[in-house]
Amino acid sequence: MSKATDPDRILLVEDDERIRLEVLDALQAGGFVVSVAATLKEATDLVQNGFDLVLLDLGLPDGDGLDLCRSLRASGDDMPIILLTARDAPEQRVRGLDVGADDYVVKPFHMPELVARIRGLLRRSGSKTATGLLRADTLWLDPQARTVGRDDQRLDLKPREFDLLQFMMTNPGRAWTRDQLIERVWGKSFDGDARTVDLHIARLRSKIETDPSDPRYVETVWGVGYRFQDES
Amino acid sequence: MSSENSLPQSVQPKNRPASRIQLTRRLSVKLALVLGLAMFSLQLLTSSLVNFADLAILEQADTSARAGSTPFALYLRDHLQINDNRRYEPTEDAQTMLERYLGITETYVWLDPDDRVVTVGDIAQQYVSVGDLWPLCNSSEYCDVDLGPNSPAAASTWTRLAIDGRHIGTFVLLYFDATFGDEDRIFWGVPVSFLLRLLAASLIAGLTAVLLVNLVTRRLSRLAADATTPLRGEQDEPVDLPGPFDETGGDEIALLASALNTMRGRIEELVASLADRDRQRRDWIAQVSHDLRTPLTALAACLERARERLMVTTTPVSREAVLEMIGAARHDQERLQMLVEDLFELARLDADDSLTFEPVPPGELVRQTVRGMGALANEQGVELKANIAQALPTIRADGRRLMRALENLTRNAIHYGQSAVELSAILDGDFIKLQVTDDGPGFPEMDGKAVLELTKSHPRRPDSAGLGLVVARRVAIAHGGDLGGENRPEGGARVWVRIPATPSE
Repeated sequence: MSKATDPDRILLVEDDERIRLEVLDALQAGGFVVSVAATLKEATDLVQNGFDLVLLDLGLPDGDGLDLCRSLRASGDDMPIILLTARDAPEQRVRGLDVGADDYVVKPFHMPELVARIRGLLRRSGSKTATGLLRADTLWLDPQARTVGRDDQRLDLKPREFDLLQFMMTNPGRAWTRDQLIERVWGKSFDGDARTVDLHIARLRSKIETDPSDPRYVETVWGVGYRFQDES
Repeated sequence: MSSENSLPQSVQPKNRPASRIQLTRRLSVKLALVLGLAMFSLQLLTSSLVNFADLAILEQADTSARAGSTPFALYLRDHLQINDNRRYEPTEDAQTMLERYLGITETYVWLDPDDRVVTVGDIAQQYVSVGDLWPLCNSSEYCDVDLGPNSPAAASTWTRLAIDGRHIGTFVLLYFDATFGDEDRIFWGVPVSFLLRLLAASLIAGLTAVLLVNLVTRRLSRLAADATTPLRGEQDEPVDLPGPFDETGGDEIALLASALNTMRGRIEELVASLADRDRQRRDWIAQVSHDLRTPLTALAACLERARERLMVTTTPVSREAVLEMIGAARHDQERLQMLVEDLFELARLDADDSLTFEPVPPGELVRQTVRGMGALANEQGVELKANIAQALPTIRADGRRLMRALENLTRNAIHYGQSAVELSAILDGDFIKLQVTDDGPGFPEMDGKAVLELTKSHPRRPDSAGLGLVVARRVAIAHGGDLGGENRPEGGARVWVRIPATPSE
């Protein structure tokens, strides 16, 4: 989607002027082309122009930023969305991710962290369809042969555990809520609850981690869900 | 974090006079019935006893009459006079005597030799047993007694008196049914006198019952009135509770009063503890405001200093100087941010103690904390190490809050530590112990218990490490665990939170 030559275009939706200006400044310094919207209505109008990424504040004066997120996903638009959320509202994050946001940044945030997240997400959004061998540290997963191993030792995973691991390894560094994982891995018709995911993650960890009580690959995002370790 | 006074300023007394009257009425009616029945049966018993006695005497009189002597007749025999018609009749004295001695159920008739009525006795007002008359006449010499076969009344005794064989008259003693007076009429199949007596008994019983019950309920209503006295008490002043209630009497009502007094004592304690908590909370808010004001003041001063240095001074400001000022401002801002977030967390824990449980591998918690605090540790020149016991059970806990607690302990340790801070996760009985050890100066003049006291009453360490410990302790307690700390003998402090090691599955 993003070409190395073109600067990435970002829509910034934020109602607080001070924060808007600061973020705008940091993004422009980072080489992005930024459009700004202060209300949900402005954002809804602007987003039609197409962007490479949306930075979305949730509490807007004329509505909930999540509505924009929801309507974009409902219309089949998969443009990456990063939510700007309050630190003390994990429920908000879970809801945001559940309606289709890709990531979230917790206020008050450090600008460098925000820019890094944007770059990471833009980088990954172009490579979602990779089907080659997936690697993380010494862990590898072969989607074709449906095999998993650590170094040269093969690990014996149940099909569902394999699906879960493959899905998460395909999207490293991204936090998934338990509901999202159920929908993506088990399918929409599955009516298990969050405990099902916890149980499978626990089994998966017991197989792929050296110490399941100190997992290195599948991380917990406290109060939100799980994430596959991004660092190589 | 609401600071409003939660003491009730006044409680509307809820008078329920209706129910009290109901109680009085119900008790009175029951008591009246019981008393009425008791009185009536007692009366029946005594009157029938008297009647039995009379009957026995009359039967004796009757027997004597058959044997030829009737005491009244004999008496009359001596008290006859001859009237103008040359007939015998009782003298006035005799009439009075007979009136006196005959009971209300008896009367006499004096008939002349032609069986015409000469004198009829009134119903005597005084009830004097016929037995009293008995000794007056026990001789039968004058009695020429002849009980006629055609007696005019079933319950009567006839005595024909004769002088020298000459018939002079007949003394008829009439006595009525032993139970009923002669006015008795039958009403609905029941003699009226019976009904009247029942009515009288009921009335007396009813009045007595009302008096008795009122005696009981009056004390009860006084208790109720006392207990519902409107509460008084201004903010900051102890509430003036009703009572104490009078416990004398040694009966059930005294028991009730004593129970009310016990309750009153509890309420007093509760009110006192509420007031105490309110005061603590206000102290605490004052302290927090102070904590907020300090970095704010520092921040303002720092910014002002920077502005002046950059604008007013003519000499150019060095890059290092600017960076130093920005660094100082940033430090103040971080302190503020921490405080605000801790406050927010406390407010959330206050408002809703429910935790969001998820499986928490203790090792992951420690490692994520070490990773998250790494930058701060570096900045402070402190080495941050993790020491995680092998194969710890994964617990069910609120991971986000637990990590926040651990972060707070770590932040303090980094702040006070000289060169190294160690985070460890170990199994401690049924608990997972998350411990932060530093090599700083330790707690000043304090042992572990004092740390706890510190977080209870004084939310900050003397030189202000924010609300970190308070939040950590609240999180631990919300999990059913605790927070502790101590100075290490080799120097430095050790602070831990212990969380029950509930298995995740």
